[in-house]
Parts: sequence; structure tokens; C-alpha cells
Amino acid sequence: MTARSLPDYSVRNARRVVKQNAKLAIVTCILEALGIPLIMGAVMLHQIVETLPDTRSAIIGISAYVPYMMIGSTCLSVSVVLGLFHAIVSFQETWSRTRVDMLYALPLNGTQRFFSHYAGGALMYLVPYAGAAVLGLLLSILLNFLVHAEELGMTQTEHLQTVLTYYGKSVVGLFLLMWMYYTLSVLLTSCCGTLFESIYTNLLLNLLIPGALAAVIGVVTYAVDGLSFEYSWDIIGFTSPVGGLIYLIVVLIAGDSGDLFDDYSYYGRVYVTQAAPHSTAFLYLRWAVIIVLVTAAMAVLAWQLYRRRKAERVGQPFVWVGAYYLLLTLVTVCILCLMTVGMGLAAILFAAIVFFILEVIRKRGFRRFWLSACVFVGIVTVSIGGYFLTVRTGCFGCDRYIPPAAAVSSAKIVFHEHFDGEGSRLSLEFTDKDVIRAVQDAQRSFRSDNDEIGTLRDALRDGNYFTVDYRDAYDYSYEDDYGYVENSPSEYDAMLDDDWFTRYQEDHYDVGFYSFRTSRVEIVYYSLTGAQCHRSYDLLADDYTALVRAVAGTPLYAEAEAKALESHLDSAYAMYDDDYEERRVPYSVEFEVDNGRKYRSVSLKNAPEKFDQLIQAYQRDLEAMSAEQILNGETVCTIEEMPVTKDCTNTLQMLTSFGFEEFTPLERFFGTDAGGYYYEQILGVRLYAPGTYRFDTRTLSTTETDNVYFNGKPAYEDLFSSDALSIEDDETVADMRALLEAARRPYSTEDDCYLLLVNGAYYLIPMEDAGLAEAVAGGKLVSVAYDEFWSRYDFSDDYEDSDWYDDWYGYYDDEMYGAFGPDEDYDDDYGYYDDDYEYFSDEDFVYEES
Amino acid sequence: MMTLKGAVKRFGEFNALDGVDLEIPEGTAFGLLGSNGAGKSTILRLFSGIYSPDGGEVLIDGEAVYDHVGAKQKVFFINDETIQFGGFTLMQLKAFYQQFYPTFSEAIFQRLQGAIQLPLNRKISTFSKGMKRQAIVIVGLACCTPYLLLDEAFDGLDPTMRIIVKRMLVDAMCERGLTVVISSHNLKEINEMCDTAALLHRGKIIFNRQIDSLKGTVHKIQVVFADRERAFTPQDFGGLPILHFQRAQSIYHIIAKGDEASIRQALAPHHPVVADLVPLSLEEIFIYELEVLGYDSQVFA
Repeated sequence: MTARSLPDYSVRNARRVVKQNAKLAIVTCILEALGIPLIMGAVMLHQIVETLPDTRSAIIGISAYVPYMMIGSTCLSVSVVLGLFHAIVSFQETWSRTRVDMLYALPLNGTQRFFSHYAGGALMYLVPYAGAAVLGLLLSILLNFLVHAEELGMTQTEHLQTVLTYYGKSVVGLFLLMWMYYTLSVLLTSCCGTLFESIYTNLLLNLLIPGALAAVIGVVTYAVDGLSFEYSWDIIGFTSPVGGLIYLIVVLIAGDSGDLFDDYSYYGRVYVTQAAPHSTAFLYLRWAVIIVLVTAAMAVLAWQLYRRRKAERVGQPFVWVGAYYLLLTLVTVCILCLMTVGMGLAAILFAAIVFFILEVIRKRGFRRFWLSACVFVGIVTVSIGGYFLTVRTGCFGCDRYIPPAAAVSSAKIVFHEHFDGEGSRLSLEFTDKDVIRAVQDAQRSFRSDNDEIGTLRDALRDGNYFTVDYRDAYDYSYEDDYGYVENSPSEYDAMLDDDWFTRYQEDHYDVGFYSFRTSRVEIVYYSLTGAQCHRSYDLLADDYTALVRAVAGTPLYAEAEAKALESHLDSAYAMYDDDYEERRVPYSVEFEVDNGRKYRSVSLKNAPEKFDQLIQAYQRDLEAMSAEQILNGETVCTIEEMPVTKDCTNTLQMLTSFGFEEFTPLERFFGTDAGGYYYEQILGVRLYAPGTYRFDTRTLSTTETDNVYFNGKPAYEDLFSSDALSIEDDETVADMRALLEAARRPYSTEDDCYLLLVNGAYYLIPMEDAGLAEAVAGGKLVSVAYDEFWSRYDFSDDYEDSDWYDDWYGYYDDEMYGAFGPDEDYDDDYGYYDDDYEYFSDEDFVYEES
Repeated sequence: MMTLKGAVKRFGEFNALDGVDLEIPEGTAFGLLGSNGAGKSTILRLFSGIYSPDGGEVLIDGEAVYDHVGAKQKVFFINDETIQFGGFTLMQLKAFYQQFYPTFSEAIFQRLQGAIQLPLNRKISTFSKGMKRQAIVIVGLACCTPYLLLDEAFDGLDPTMRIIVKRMLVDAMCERGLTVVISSHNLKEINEMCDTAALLHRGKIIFNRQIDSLKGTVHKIQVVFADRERAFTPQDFGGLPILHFQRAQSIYHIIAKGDEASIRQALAPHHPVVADLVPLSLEEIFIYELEVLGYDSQVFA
């Protein structure tokens, strides 16, 4: 008798698994061989053709690599999905009655059998992938020599380094996820007793784990003020292969691939003062470690369940019913989440149908169906009850938690509606404790404000689903091809044909959904261990400004704003190809002065470096200015949307050197409360008087609800409505200023109030200031937007639309809009005008290179 | 020795084995008899370590079998199906088991395979039912484990092949003291192969004895009494354990337990005119024992 150690048997058994499933292993090898190498070949080919000097070659090249990319992606995807089948064929004894005697009778204990089968399947699944990854690596290195890296502003080595970093992260990340997917499949296979249940449980749970988590977290974070859905990434990204894959692609790779592929990342453009512990590399490492730990935990659980499962239970749908009830619960909860988007009982009915179908499948009939009904009622009750408990308690107090500044390594603030010219969100990350404290103070302040407002957030949400009877709300409105006017004189009613209402709904279905103008910000605190505390808020203008005040004046803010200015300029102005330098450079800068639309431009055609100097000057100014100077300083001009105050001495000096002059402070209508957005100059105002309003087909008085000023806004009597005002008499300006200063933040009350909408944000005017409101409503205001057009529109039968341009542009003098007709692009005297038919000239101020 | 001590095995609410005690000494050819669902295959799966007992102990040479590699290496189990080997060739099947059983004897395999002339490199799925059975028996014997468990061992074998397989088993028993446990409905095979047999019914052992002694303890008696007018009943024969009692006119057919002397002694007080005692076959013992327990083919009569 030959003595053999026990591990020797395990190895032999693993080898046996591979041998017996050789066909599947061969298919996997073929798919893998076509997967990563083809993808990397296509990526490198893309790099090669994109960096070819000859544009025509590049265009032809696109069609050359796309098919390979598609074939490679398909093969890789299929080979990845095969992990499920590797798990199933490696553990045949869990679902095959004929195999169970043969395999259980072998001189192996449960542990040996599990790990040898596990290893055998993993070998067949992962080794071909690893081989293909090495092949892809070699291909990348070889093809890198054909890339014209200098076209990307890199050396060949830097390019290779970038490619390999990206490649390494992707390949290793996918490897870990495949391992997790395989392990999860083994775990679920260990829980099932038939082939059918093994496959469908695997497929469903792989989708349901991240899906249900996303749905539940989405629903809860939507309902709980302050909680952010971004939190979910730390749960979804670590708990399932599909979630992990999304996390890998969206957060870890896409967020770090700007050098090569695009300038957008999930979190927007991030400016960091110093290396933070949660840098992408750290996040990746943390994610990888957690994925490994979760996978190991899954493997241990699978091992224990496998060891304890009895051989005779093969053939039963579920050996461990926990997996089934997890599936059942996730499906039900997922569907029940639809209740929050207004499906109500329909969602419960839908959930019940799916639930009972699954029950019939598992029980192979209707046995003990009353028990299924009880389980369903239990799941629904616990789910709905849990939801309300979570929401009512602010997710058990999570919404109020702000980590102590001492424990925070860095804080990131993402301003969702503060875009630069390329569409990236402004995202600032601070490690300075003073700034972190200031941010936390602002956060506590608007948390406290929200408490005072009470159900403001609910009211805002209601607004999103608020439906309006268009006929009533717009009783005196009409629309045509150019827009609509509210409260138009009743004599225009005669113009409306029978179908106007239908057409209005089709064209303006979203107009009836009154939403408050709030700005979303996210605040993320990172601890030294990489743990995150993620908060998301919809802030009214004041709170938003307070948060900006907390970070304005920091070098990081200055750098970010300068970058924003750069991207605004890059994207806003015409570019041209310099045939000699083969570069695309901006050729002019244009900005407005005074309080009107008086544009001036300067050509920088031959001096693109002046652009950089202007941006640097702007950054230097912002670095030197305090938050108060930045936010409340007198704006003397704007460059695109970026404000330039009188304290921006370097910027103004640079502009003066370009030939600009007369920097007059712009008129601002900012009251202390109704601040609007801190750099916006155009004031959009609506004023509503108290009265009755309609809500969901009911006519209510203003005293019927505490939240009347939020819910009831559509049917307030619209005293005054305008965008982009030009106020022509001083008395009205004074009235408007007084009204804005009297405006208060929304609060709950049953008293009548006026409702003031300033740049989309709502404020209240108490009755004690009714005189101010009436004065503004009765004042002389002339708008330069639609209202003005309609006031000049001739509604007589013989009026032609072709007369529109004459009326529209003819109203203003040449100083504002130029003297051009709509069909002309260029005028010999004045030069070009832009797409909005707004005047600018390239002759007024021309910077000539010395 | 293979031992069951109070072994319990349940499948849901069904008690497959209900506190069974059983000892199978080494070198024994042990037959497991029983009605369908009596628990024969369950006992074999317990001994081979496939099933874990829900109660009691299952031991091989004093060591628990379930999840114990050492004990499992002493057992080779051939179940009543062969479909699981369909993807193998005989060579592959040999290689498969060879790697798990260090006692595997290439010589024995060659000898047995040579005797039967089974194709080595053809998929077993292409074999006939009997050939499949032969193939796994050859491999099982070649593994040279001390204990060989066969579930419906001779199912599908033609008469000649039955003799060959039996001879293989007997040779192994003689050569290396192989302990064979055979579960079968074919009582003739058990009768020929086994020296000991146990009868199972509804998870319990009805008897467990050497077959020879078993045969001597149950008799069929044809008897005519002097008083032909009297209708005798089983109670008229004192403590004689009667399994079957039937009267046809003046002749009584009785199946009773006990040796010949004790039976004749029990009949004597009623003055039998004729009393012929015939030993029962194993099949008859099986039928009459189970009939007493209510497992009676007459229910459909």
C-alpha cells in the first residue's frame, strides 16, 4: 500500500475536475484568447490612429479597430459570464443525483472535496484569463512603439506608463471581480439542489444584489435630507460582482483615465491641494482589499454550507433556503421601491405576482400556499415599515452625523450646478482643518435652517410630482411656436384654436412641474482609513452662498475658478487651426461691461499666451482676495460667466492692456437674503399675491395647509413675471431693492404672504411688507426677454412672422444689437456676430502682438 | 468490522432507519434483504460515508465513517446505477479510482479485465447494462479495499456473467478476506453468495442471522390430525411461533419458527397422523416473515 497525504488527494481531485470539464476549459481559453488581447490591440490601434499626423488616416483607422474592440468585448464578456458554469460543473454533486454517490463515496472529506472542486473550477476559469492578460500586456508594450505619444504631449515612456497603469488596474480589478463572481456562484450552487435553481438563482441574485441595494439606498437617500446616494458605492461596489464592476469602471478607472481618454470623471474635476489618503490609487487598493475580503468571506460561507449539506438533499430546489429567501426578499423589495414613484398598490400587486410565481417554481406546485401568503405579507410589512422607520429617524441618525474635524483627513465639496466650460462639476477637496471646520459650520447652519423650515424638502419633492390643470393655471395663457405668456390679456383668447391645449401639453409637458430652484452640493469627509461620510443637500441660494463663502478665498478655490475661466474661454470662443503650428488656439476674448448687454471683444489671434496670462492674473487675484471680497465685491465686468470685481487688480490691469476701459460697477439687485447666485447679474423675478390656488384638482384657500407657500405656488395671482429685467426708472429700482431686502426665507405659516421668486429661489414677503410688493408690481419695468417681445407683437391677422426680426431687433439701437439682419453673417463695418445675433465687433479692441 | 449502533436516518418525515444495530464481521459475505424502501441502500450509503447518520453511530473498524478519509478508504461502494460513469472509458475509470485508492492493484485489474475482455478505450456509455456493471465491479475489486458494498449487484448480468462476477467476489474473499455486503431483491443470489443475511422492514432489522441457521429455524409443515372434524387454530399449538397457518380440508399448511424437534413436540398433543417438515428457502422465509409484519402480497388477491 502506498501512503499518500490528504492534500495530495485534494490536488488529484482538483486535477480530476479540470480533466472532466476540459471542454468548458477549452472554450474559456479560446474566448479569453480573443478577449483581452483583441481589446488591447484595438485600444492601442486607436491610440496609434488618433495620434497620426494625417487626419484622413485617423478617420479610416476608426473603422479598422472598432470591430476588433466589439469582438474582443463580446468574447471577454461571455468568458466572464462562464464563471457561473464553471462553478456549476465543478460542483456537480450539488445538483446531479447520479454524481452524488460517486463523488461523496470517494475517500475525501467535505473540506477536501469543496476546496479541490473550488480550485479546479477556479483554475479553469481564471488561469486562461491570466494568460490572456499577459498576452494583452505584451501586445500593449509592442504596439506602444507605434503610438505617436508626442501628439498627446507625452514621451513614449510616459505613454506606456499611463497605458500600463490603466491596463493593470482594469485587468487586476476584473480578475478580482471574476474571482468574486465565481465564488458567489459556488456559494449559491452550494445552496441549491438542482441545475435549474442553480442557474436562475445565480443569474437573478447577481443582478438583484446591486439592483436592490441601489433601489433601496436610492429611495432612502432621496427621502432623507442630507444622505447621499454616493454612499451606496461603498455598499454596492463591494458586495457583488456586478456592483463591483460598475464601481471599477465608473469610479476607479473612468475617474482616473483623464490623461488618455477624456476629461470627465465621475466626481467631476477634482482639485486637490495635496495627496489625500483617498486618492484613486488608495481607493483602488481599499476596494481591492475589501473585494478580496468579501470574496474570502463568501468562500468560507460556501465551504461551511457545503460541508454541512447532506448528500440526500440533492434534487431539492433549495438545500439552504436562505439563498431563496434572500432572492425572494430582494425581488419584492426592489419592486416595492416603485411605490415611491407613485405606483402604490400597483407595485404591491406586481410584487405579489412575481413573489407567487417564484413560490410556485420552488414548491413545484401550490403546496402550503397560505404560508407563502404569510411570508409575502411579512416581507411587505417589514419593507414598508422599515422604510418609514428609516426615513423618520433620518436613517437612524445618520443624516445628522458630522464627523469631528480632527478625525477628518480631507473634505471634498462638489458643487453640482457649478460647471466649468467643459461641463465638469466644480469639486474642491481640502485638507486644511480651518477650511474643514468652516465647511462643517456652514453645514450645521443649513441643517439647522432646514429644521426651521420643517417640511420644505417634502414640499420641494411634492413639487416634482405636482400636476397642474393647465387650463386653469394658464387660463389667460397661450402658446405658439415661440413660447408662451402667462396671464396674457384675455383678448388674445380669440386666437386660440381648439387644439392649443393639446399642443401645449405636448410641447411643454415639463412646464407644469414647478420645481424650486435649488442647488445640489455634496460634502464628503474622508477619514484616515479611507472611510467616507457622504452628504448631499439641495440648498437654497443663501445656504449655497454660505458654503461658497466657507471655501472662497482659499488657494484651491482660486485655482479652481481660474481653471473654470480657462475652460469657459476654451469652449466659448471660436478656435481655429493654425496650419503652421498645428495647434488649436482661441483667438478672441469677449466680455460684457456695464449692466446691459454691451459686449466688447479683443482678438488674441497672434498671442495665445495672453490667454494664459489673463487666467494666471485672475488666479492671483482670487488668491489674494478674501471670501467677502470675492462674494460681495463690486463686479465691474464678467468674462463669460466669471465675475471680475474691482479688487481683481491684476485681471483688470491685464484687460486694460488688451485695450478695455470703463469698468463700471454692474447693477446688482441682491438683497441680504434674496442673494441669488453670487455672481449672477441677471435678475429673474416673479411675484405672487396670496389668494386661492389649485392643488391636484382641488381649490384650496391659503390657510388650509402649513406648506401653502410651497405647494400652492402655481395658482397664486401672478402680479409680475419677467426674466432678465431692465428697470428703467429709479423709483422702481429702489422699490425692487427694498422688496428684496424684505424677502425672507421660506417658513411655515398660515398667514397670507406674498411669494417672491428670484432667480428660481422662493422667498416670502409677509403682509406687513405688502406695500412694497404692490409698488414693485405696479412699477415700470421693461424686460428684454419674451415679455418684451410679446408686448410688441402684432396679433393682427395680416401680421407675418417674417416681420418678427424687424420688430425684435429693430426695437433696440445698434449699440446693443448691431444693425444686421438675421440672414447675414458678416458686415463690412462691424464684423461677425454670433449665433444669438448679439453684437460684437472685432475692430473695437484688437490686441496686436508687439 | 462494520457496525451500526442505534443508527437513525431520516428523510424529512420519513424514518429510513430507526435505531438499527448491526455488526458485520470481517470476511463475511453479508446479504441485506428487505422490502422496497426498507433501508437497505441507506445502510450501504451510511457505510460508504455518503450519508451522515441522524442518530447513532456508523463505524468501520471502530472509526466513524462520515467525513473520515481513513475509514472511507477501506470501503468501495458500487451503487445500483452506472450512468455516472458514462463519460469514462474503462481506462479512465481505472485511473479515476486509482488516484484515490492507494491499495489499487493493477495486476488484479488486468487479470479481471483480461478474463472478461471488456473494451478499455470505449466510452462506458456505449456498454450494455451488464458490461457497465462488470466494469465497475472490476474497478471496485481492483481497488482492493477491505470492504466492498454492492447495491443490486447482479442487476443486468446474464447468468454466465453472474457466475463470473460471483467467482471474482468469492476469489477476493478467499484471497484477501474481502468483506462483501450485498443488497439485493434477488434472494437466490444472496442465498448462493452470502453466509449471513439481515432482513429489513420499515427501517428496522427483523432478523440478522447466518443463512444456514436461518433455514433450519423456519419450517413448512404439512400435517393431518387424527381428529379430522375439529377445526384447529394457531392458538391450539401453545407457544409455537407460527408465521403462516392454512387449512385445506383435513390438511393443515403451517409455517413455523423453531427446530424440528420443538415443532413436532408442539404438534404431538393433537395426534398428527401425517406430519411432513420441509425446510424453507430464503425466499419463502422472506415472504412469510414480511407477511407477519403486514407486507403481504395477498392484499391484491
